[in-house]
Amino acid sequence: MKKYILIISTLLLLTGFNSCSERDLDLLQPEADFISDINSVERMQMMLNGAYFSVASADALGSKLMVFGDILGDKIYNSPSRAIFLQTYNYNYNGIQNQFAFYGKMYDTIVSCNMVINNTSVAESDDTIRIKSQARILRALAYYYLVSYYSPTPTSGVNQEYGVPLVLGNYDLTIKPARATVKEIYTQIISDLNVGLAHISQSEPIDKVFLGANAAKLLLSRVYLTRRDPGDAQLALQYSSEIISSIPDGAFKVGSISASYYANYFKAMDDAQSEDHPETIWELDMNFYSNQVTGVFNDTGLPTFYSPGDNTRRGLLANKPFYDSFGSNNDVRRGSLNIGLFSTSGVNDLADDPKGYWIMKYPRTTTIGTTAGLYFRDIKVFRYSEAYLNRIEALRLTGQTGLALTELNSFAASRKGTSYTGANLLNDILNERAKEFYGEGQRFLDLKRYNLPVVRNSNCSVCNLEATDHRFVLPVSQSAINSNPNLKQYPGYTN
Amino acid sequence: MNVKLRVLSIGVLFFAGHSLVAQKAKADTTTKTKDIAEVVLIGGIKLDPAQKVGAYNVVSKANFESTPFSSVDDVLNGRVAGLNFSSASGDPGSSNMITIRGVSSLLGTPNPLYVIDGVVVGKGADNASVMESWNPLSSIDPNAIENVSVLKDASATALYGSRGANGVILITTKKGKYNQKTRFEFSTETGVQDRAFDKLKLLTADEYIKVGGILMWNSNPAGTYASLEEAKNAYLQQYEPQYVKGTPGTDWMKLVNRTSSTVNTYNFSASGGGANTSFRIGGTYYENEPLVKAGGFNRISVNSAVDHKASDKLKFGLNLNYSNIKRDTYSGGRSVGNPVTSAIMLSPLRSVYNPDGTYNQNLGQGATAGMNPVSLLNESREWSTINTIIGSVNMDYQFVKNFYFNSLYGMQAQMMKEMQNIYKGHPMYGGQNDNRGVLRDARSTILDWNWSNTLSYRNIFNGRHDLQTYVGMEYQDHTYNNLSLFSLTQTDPRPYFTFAENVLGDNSDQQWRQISYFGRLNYTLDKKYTLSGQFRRDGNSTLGDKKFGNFWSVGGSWNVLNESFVPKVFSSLILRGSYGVLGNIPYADQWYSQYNQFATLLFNTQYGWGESGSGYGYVATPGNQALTWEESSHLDVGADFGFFNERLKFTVDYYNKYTDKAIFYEYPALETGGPSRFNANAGSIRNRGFEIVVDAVPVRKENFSWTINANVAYNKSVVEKLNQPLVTFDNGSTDADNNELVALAPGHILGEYFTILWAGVAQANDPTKGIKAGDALYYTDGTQTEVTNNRLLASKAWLGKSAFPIYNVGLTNEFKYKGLSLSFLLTGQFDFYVQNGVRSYTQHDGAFPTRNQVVEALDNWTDAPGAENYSNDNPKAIIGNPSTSRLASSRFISKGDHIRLKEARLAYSFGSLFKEQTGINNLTLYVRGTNLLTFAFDKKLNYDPESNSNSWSWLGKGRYWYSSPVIRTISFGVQIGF
Repeated sequence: MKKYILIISTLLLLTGFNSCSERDLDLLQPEADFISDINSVERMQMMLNGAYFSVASADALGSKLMVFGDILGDKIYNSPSRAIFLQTYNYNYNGIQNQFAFYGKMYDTIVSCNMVINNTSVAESDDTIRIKSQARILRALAYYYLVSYYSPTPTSGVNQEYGVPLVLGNYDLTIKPARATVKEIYTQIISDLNVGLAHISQSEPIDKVFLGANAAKLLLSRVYLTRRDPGDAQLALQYSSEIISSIPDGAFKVGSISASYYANYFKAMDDAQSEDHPETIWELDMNFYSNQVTGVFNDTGLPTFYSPGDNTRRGLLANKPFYDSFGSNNDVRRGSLNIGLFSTSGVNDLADDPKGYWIMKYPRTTTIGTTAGLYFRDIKVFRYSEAYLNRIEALRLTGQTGLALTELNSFAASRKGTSYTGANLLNDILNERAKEFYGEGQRFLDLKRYNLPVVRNSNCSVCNLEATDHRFVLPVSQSAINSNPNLKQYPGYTN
Repeated sequence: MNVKLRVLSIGVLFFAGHSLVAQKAKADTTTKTKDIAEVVLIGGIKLDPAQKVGAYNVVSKANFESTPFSSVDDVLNGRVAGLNFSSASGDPGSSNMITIRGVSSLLGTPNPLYVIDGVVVGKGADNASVMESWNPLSSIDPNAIENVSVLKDASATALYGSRGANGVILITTKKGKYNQKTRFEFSTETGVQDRAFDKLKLLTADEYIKVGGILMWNSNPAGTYASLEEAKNAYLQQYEPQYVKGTPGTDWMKLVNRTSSTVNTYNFSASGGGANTSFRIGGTYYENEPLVKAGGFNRISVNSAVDHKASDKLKFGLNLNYSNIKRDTYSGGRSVGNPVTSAIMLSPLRSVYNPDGTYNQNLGQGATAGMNPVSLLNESREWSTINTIIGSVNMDYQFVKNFYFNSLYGMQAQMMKEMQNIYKGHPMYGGQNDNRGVLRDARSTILDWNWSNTLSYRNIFNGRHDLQTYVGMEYQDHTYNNLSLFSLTQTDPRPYFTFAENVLGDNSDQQWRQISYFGRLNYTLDKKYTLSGQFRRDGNSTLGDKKFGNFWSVGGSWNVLNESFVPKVFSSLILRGSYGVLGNIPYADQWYSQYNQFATLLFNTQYGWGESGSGYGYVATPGNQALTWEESSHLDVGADFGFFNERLKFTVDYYNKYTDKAIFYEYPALETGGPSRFNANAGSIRNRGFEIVVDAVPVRKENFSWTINANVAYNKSVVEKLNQPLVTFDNGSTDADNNELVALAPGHILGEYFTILWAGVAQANDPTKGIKAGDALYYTDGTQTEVTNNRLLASKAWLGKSAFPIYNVGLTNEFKYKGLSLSFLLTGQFDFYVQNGVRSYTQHDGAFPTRNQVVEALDNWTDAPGAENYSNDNPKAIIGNPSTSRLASSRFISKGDHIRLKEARLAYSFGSLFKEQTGINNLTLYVRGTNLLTFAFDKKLNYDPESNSNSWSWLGKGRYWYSSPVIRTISFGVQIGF
């Protein structure tokens, strides 16, 4: 008996030391924070930086979105010897098979911006106002790219109910939003830009990777020139003129620009001649560290696809008719072969007929110390030259065609390019835009917003895309539809 | 709650002896027996103590000793009904995939749970953070195994509740025996390995030029070339200008692979015991030089077991196993940096070295600059050292008559150091530039421990009523700590961070815990009727708000033989059935999915945007508070019966296993702007099938015997409900979680093939549809009524089969004549499809003019003069492959049905012939081969049908991946006992 009591009491004593309880099952990831904890200015800035990273990712503006804007057009082609974007170049895409992955990235940007804009935990201050304004401009930019690609243009008059879903709330994993109308999206974009512009500082940010007033104005002018509702052209004229009046010295003003100065803006090996340049309004931060986040690497960066330095993957070239359209080597945007912005070195190992020209706007830079590097050249998204061209477009739309032609020719003259007769002013303006912005992701959107067809004169197996073709609007991916049954595919795509 | 806990954990923390003894009943040849194999689970609980209730198989140690396999799971292949095995890689030490009764979960590894001497060591899932695949089970030496029990149904697995839904494999290591003079055993084996079934042949230099010429002919307008010869010259001039005609081509495969590899093992053990203490201690050295040059695998392991009887009522036991593994491999995984994969893509017309002796990096489209495979083998390396300790301590105490207390503490600790070093000139990582190398040093520590305490009452009343009851509680804690440093800017090839220009560091801690309470009751009446029941309550920290679940199982069996009405022809007859509902968490064994409850943000200040970059924030986990246990309902009905004095025995089982609330990924809308998926209870799966096992001894004489064991299993896994109408896995990358040809949808087989249907090659023009002769054709949909040559217009269709065989068959024959024994094992797998996961590397229909292809490329349709070939299988090759015919479709799916001579062994045992002279009481010599012959029913199949491209998910099943071959081995060994 004694033995039993001894045993049982020992056991009971020992159970007293047993401290496992069900609270032990409440484990949290140690380095994470709750979603509601954006509770300081630093954290708001970090969420905004996260939004910048998303929009700069390799699937979005960091690389592919820049490519799509050109290869869906008629000036730059994908060599058939390189598979890279051949499918897209041939308009060979639908919901289950396509190379477009920036839809989700843009919404990453949008929701991060929403969490900043809607934040009420942090007391208002100059910093929070600045951060919120930038978030509004960035959100507008994301919606602009989404609606430009995934919806029909407003002036087409067709399928205007196929805008993109409008998401303005904080992170909520249950939402399954349907498409808003194109009109609603444009209204939101313009509203965000106006609110952002109203509260942001009127002096440009010191670091050009952040959005400022001029970026907002430039985007507003572009958006107005796309929508072309009554009164829009006048507003576009107003904003673009405001930008022109504040162009800094060193940008490509209408005056004389030397060929080497122009070319070096893009192709100089030294970052100091290309990054943070007065000509740039907004550029994307590309360096060793940021590229770990954006995924812009040696198989995904723009230099991979364009630059002569990368033998196995480069495959995007300007076609001969476009090269010839500059008229002569005097045009600073063309320059002498292999010295200016076009090159033919190594073009013979491709089976193209006629042979095209490599574009030098995205060089593989050589290493200088450790900071410069191959794919670490900031990508310029907005630059001051566009303000001139937007103003010229707006002048034409407000009926001042004579002035438009004059300014167009001064612009061309500043680049030592050929001048125009004005017989088809719209075409002349768009061609001048193409000469200025080739490789910078604009040509396809220019054709689309004026309901013009794509007409390719060489190096194509699909050489025409009618303006009414559904492929002017990109298909949403089947997996996007699978996870959001309220999202409807654009008509015309069977899959 | 607390009170319950304290009551149940009475008697905590004595360390005392309990021996987990699983003695296999001598069911093989000599004695007839009605005893069933006694299997002991945790807490001293015997599985089916009086008679068999659950469904399980026991595999004896003879199958494990001196094996040429580097890990335990390899040996079970073909020997257990309902078990299907495929290896992820011939690379020793890599994870394998085992399914028992089909795949029961949508997420996570489909592997069963492995328990070694009471320590739950997990599911063999990949723990590596650097290496492509690392199997924790390969640190257990197969020679130290006494037996392996494979538990299959709810009644058998109920005690492993929350992790046993895929089945449980109980491994018991060898122990000493009481009162036995110390015995020693030594054995050694040497084996030679090569690829088991590989008919992939690459083009030789001449064939490559011919294909190139045909490509030029096809791609240019008629009349461009006067002859095929001219087209060949044009091809050489355009694409391979460096090639001098007549020079022999480069055989890249030979440069990267050894034709055969070697395996050596050495084992030594000693066991014995006195009146109260027994021990066993053993050591093994295993060494393998695999097929890929630059690979290597060494394992040293030491295992020990000590049991002590302090008194009749108190027993202690200690098991301690230690192993040290050194593994060497190449870097690259699935990327272009993998030298084995790029060796199959490289043009044979490119040389390995430049004239000046440096590596030739101008390799065409077969490899990007810097990826010359020979240079990669020498200059891009991964190596690791892994130390594993598995130990358990247990105590069994009968503190009052018929009352027993058992406590078991088991732990597993793994300490890994993984290094990756890539010399400059090989830009494998984004952000790495040509002049800098890469160094990664990752240190991981994984600690799993579990502690269970059980109280039981066992008694027999009136000689008729055999009652055994148990109540217990178990606590598990699992932690993972990882620290890694990474540099993309190494200036010197030596693996030290002193040479780094900048270093990125990262660390991570993951943890999860589980608490379980359980009770079990076994009642047998008159040794005829048995009823068994179980109840358990489990809580797991990785779930949402509701962390606990209640589960149960019941089972019964009837030993009909003891009834009076049984015909005399039966020598044994047991009917049994069980049904249970058990909880499961499928991702529990893989790290980085432990925190699912709350939505979280991560603020990272290592990377910033802009000069003043202060870091960035993002939504890290979506959080799912509703996440709860997966519930697996398992019905099993079976019978075991025998004739002719147990010389012919059958085991038959029918099962129906339903997994409800199956945890899978839920994909929020892309418009939510956060993580693209999270874990949710998303669907249900049903596995149904039957198993038949036949054991026969047709001949049993004094000197000669012949034993047959055959097993046949049928299984079908169907997804019944799912949260989305369709889930596909084509994210466009070569990642392990990418598989473009399969999908999940309610009402379809799990992992059913779902893709565009290939319709062959057009033999004639069809202007109405814009089809030209030579075009690749696809059916527009599953009805197969219309064809098109535009891949975009073809809809995907279901193929009705998956990569999991519906029928698995194994047949073992063993012949013994005096000291000589011959055995062979045939396995067959039927009714499934396999796919070539590297098809885009091996056949591109002209997309990449300077990339090599397999010889099937010679079969591409063409009308080039002198080489006309109007193939029906391979379309006309055109530069750039604008029709995208090389992309995914059913063209690359084959029937996987095959029969394999899995193993053959011839052994001669000298017995005690030499005993008097040398003291040796057993000397056995043997020759053994595995995967010796394979017969595939599809004549066009040119890769191994047992392939698997990754083993930590069902997604990789049946997907051939070139750098992970299935291996054939022939080995010779010696065993000595003294």
